[in-house]
Amino acid sequence: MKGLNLLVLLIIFLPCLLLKPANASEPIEIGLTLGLTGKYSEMSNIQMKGFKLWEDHVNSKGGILGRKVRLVIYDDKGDPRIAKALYEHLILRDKVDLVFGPYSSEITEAVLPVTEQYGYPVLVAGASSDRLWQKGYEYVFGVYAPASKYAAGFLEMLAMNGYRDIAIVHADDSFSKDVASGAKKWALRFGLNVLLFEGFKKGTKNLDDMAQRVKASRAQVLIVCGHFDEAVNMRLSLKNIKWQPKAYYASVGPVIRKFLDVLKADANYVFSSSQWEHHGSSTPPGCHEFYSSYTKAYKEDPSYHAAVAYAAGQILETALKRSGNLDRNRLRDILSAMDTMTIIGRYGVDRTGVQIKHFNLIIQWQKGKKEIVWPEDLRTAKPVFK
Amino acid sequence: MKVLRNITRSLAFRIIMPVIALVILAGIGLYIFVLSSVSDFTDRHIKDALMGMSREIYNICARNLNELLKTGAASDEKAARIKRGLTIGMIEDFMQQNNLKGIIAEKDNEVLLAYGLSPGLLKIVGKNAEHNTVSSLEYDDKKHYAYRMQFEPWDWQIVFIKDAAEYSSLINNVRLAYMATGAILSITALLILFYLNRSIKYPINKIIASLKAGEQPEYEGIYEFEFLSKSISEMTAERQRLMKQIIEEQKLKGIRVLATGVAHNFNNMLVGVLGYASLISMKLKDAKRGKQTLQGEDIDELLKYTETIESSAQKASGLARDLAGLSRKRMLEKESVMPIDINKLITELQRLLSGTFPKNIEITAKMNDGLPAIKGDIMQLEQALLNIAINSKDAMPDGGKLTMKTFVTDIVNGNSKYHYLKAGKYVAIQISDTGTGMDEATLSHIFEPFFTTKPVDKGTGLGLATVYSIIKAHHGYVIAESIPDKGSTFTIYLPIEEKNPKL
Repeated sequence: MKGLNLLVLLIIFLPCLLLKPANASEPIEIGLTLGLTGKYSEMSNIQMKGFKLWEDHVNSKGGILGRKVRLVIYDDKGDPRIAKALYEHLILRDKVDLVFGPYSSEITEAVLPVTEQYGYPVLVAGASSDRLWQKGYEYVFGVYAPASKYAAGFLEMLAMNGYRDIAIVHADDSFSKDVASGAKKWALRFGLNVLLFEGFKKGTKNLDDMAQRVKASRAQVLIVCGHFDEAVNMRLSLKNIKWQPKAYYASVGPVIRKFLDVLKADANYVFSSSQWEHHGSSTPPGCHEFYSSYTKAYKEDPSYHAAVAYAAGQILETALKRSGNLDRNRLRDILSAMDTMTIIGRYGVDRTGVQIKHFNLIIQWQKGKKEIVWPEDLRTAKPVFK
Repeated sequence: MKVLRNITRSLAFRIIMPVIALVILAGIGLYIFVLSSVSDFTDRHIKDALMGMSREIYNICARNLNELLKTGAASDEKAARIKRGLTIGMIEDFMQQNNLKGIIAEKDNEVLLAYGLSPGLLKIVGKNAEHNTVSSLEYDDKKHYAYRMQFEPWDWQIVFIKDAAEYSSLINNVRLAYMATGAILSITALLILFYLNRSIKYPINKIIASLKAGEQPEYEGIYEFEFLSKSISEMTAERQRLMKQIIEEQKLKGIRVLATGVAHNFNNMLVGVLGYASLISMKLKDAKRGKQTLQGEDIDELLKYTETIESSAQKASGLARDLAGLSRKRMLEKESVMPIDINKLITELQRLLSGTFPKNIEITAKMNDGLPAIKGDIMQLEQALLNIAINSKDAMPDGGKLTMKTFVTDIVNGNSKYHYLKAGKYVAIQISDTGTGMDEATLSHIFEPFFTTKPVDKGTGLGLATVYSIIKAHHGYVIAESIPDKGSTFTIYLPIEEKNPKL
């Protein structure tokens, strides 16, 4: 009789024993890949620091929706195929709750079909190529200002200062091409003359020939659309051919400390675009706290890559709080309509997911210091043309 | 034509047509009033949307110009150029966000922006569109709505277009609603038809089916039909009662005629018998008294008298035999029933008649090949046909035409003027003459025994009564039609049994 009672009790309570309390204690897992080794390693490692800092901060405040956050980060080695396979692994094997986008437009372009297929909303925190939002994807949200607008501020400055003849050269990856075509478009709008518009293979070490052609075009200003390596290599080639344009702009690269470390004095007067810079009068809420905790944690100044990663975390956090759960379709709807502030400024996308609320800054290295030279109201120094 | 008429006259058609007409009318009405008004609404919605967008674009231009004016840099060529460039960028963003394609051109047609469009479109739209109005055009093989506007301070011509497909979901919804309504209408129509069928056609069919089967309708349900059914039932019962009464009266009348005929005929014969018998008696009495001796002549005369008596008595005996034959219910003897080739029978009859009828009567036979065989008593049928033929001959004292026809006919319920004919297949034999014919009154009595129009010594009045009785025994019908001074036609219908072998 006693045995029977026990059996009845077991039958009644067995389901309760088997059912865990709705995984409330498990962390929310967010997966992403970064090119921690390979051609994008500089920026990728900085981004990882930004993401990690956000993870620490959010968990120290008790996580999101009462759950801790755990980032699952893999190294995609800067290879689109590896990245694509890793995102499939994250979604199908690791069964992560959510994902962030990888670094670079090239890698992002490769993984978006996967995230789109499985209905994972992606905050693209490492890419800005316009074409990412021209494929009709419904789950892709930009954090960066789009590539086509990278050089617009610089070109406005040229027009204002009376430099009209420019040359635009670009690497053949999608991001660089989008920056270049955007630059050309804006140049024409501001009444500038594009004397040279040419592409070169991404990864070309020696750009002396290209530098020669730019010189021969009699352009006053050179715009190089590419990443860190192209920015450095072109600067070196200009030195090699012993010619200096009135202004040299490189789309990505000059913003990080390593640019100065590699080029030393040659880094001076180089212009670039930045998604974010920390300076005394930075206005977005929380940016000073981010800056101080970042420098404290990593003993270096954060570049915008770190700040954008951190901002992506903030955006996701806000969206999840509004959603109240991890329903990815609901999250998608919220991200489509949200207009919120992060440490880098405003977030808000248009119907296609392109970032439209955030804007770029133009920086210039002056006497070993990175100065904001545009927009005028935010500038820390006047632009210097040689 | 007749089939069509039959269809249009059917109850089903009369029920279905109004319902279908109603559904079609409702569908057309819905199409005209609902769909067209919704498409008007869509048009207005599209126009409003484009107007709103044009206002926003204008505002972008106006805001930037004002900013330029406020900074006092309006006359600064560089600042103005930058501002215009930024304005173009803003309009481009606006177009992207609102899924527009567009062109901005300066007065001299220098294209400042061609977002998603070829600059040539400016001319196309320019031709078709007035300023600040919405027009539609084909671009890239798709329908687009175009809007053309101007920003005068900078002399800008702005044209933007929007893919009409973006509004197609609205139109599709309307279409879907329309189709759904159509489906609902159709289903409703079917339900109405089903209901009408249940409540009108079904009771009527039930009543008709009973009537066709010769039964009394017994419908119960809908009050009106129940009333109708009961009334028909009562009327049929009344009719049957009257028929029975008429038949009884006819029978009585027949018996009266029969009795009168028998009495008359017997009287005639008995008068002869009695008269001659008394003559003989008178002669013999005289001889006995010795008044008169019976000479050879007298004996001859007496013999003549007895012959006459004998003949009269024989006639009476024959009449008695005929009467017996008529009154006995005619039955076909099993052994005399066999398959009969009616055409062969007619051929033989024709041969017989040609030999015996006066030469001024032309006898023809038109026979339909492939008649099925009829089971019957060939002797009796021959008798019946002969009786009719003799009647025809008597009706043509001055000669004429006697025509015999055979054919197969299919009697369907309701398609014959002789509705009492049971539906089915029959072999018909038609005998027509061009004789004196009969009036209606005569026609209605010809099958009665002893009814005759012939002189007393010519007929017994039993010929056609015999025909009637023979054909009845064969489960057939005999119908007489006649027009005075034109002639008469007798048609005999003999039922074909499925098992009857084909000859």
